[in-house]
Amino acid sequence: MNALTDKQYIQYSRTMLLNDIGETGQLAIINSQVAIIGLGGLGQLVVQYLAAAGVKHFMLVDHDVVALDNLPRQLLYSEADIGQHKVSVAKRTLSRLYSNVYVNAITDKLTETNVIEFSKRLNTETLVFDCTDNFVARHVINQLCVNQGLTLISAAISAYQGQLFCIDFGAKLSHEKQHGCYRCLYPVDIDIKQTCSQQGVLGPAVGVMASMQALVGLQHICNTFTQYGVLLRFDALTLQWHQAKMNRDQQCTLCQQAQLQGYAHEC
Amino acid sequence: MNVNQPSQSINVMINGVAETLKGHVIISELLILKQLPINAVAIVVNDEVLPRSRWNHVMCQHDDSICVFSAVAGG
Repeated sequence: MNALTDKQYIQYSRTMLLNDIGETGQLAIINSQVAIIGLGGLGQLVVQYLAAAGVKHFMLVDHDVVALDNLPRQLLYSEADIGQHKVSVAKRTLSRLYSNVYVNAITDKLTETNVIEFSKRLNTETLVFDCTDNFVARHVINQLCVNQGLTLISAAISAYQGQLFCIDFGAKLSHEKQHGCYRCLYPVDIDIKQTCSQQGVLGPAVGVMASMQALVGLQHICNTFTQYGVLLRFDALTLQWHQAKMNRDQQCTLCQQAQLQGYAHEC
Repeated sequence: MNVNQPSQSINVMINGVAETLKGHVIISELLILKQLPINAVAIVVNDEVLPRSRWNHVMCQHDDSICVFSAVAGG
């Protein structure tokens, strides 16, 4: 699409009133392609914000079904949806609420063995949201984005601790400006116990992280985002945010491999 | 945050709490001193993530602000 309809001018007028977004930014949102992996507390809200903002092309990935204990924080679903795949419910609801939305609903579990096959379904412009609930999946998604040069927007929360970052792995940066990846931050052998199912979580705290993910995503699409490679940590108890630059681990084999591939492409 | 020799006693902030460290303390030693689980945390020193492969090589410096936090994976 290269021009908005009259209805879209009215529908998205508040977004376009922002000087740095305008009609160009709104068209970028409408023409964007998004993959959301994990349709739990984070993903179900990210997809709603993005669809409401005008995103039309979604790939939604989650093998999980709606359960009763999801409902306090996963507002896209209702009791009538219990037992149904989350991505199927999301597709149905989004198609009802928003016109011309295309949803590719995938109920396969993304794993290390199928990640290469999965990557063929994405193009270089696909914006990837990691909204999963486990460490293994997060490493697989990180690997996918590093190897494919994609932009990754990752959020996580457990108990009162939230974490968020956005890295554009396709950006050509000088050596000193290169960001670390998820593996540079958390090596694969890290001992992790903080998941929502083990530690609990408050629905609105999940919502804060999901809203931030959607906000970062829209800013990236509109070329207004500047905080790439910055880890944001949110304490939902004290309501404080902390920032840190994500440095590359010079011993990260994933980053080294991607760098070598980059050199090979340039040659 | 560098590998220079610090003075005998230095003041640092660890997760927002002022602490005094005696002697030359590298980051991995600090974790042991504070009884923090080395395999379950990430570290930020002066607003920059310090990758784990550097923990044995970086010495705590006077006025360092050190944050130690757990990995979070829930969603």
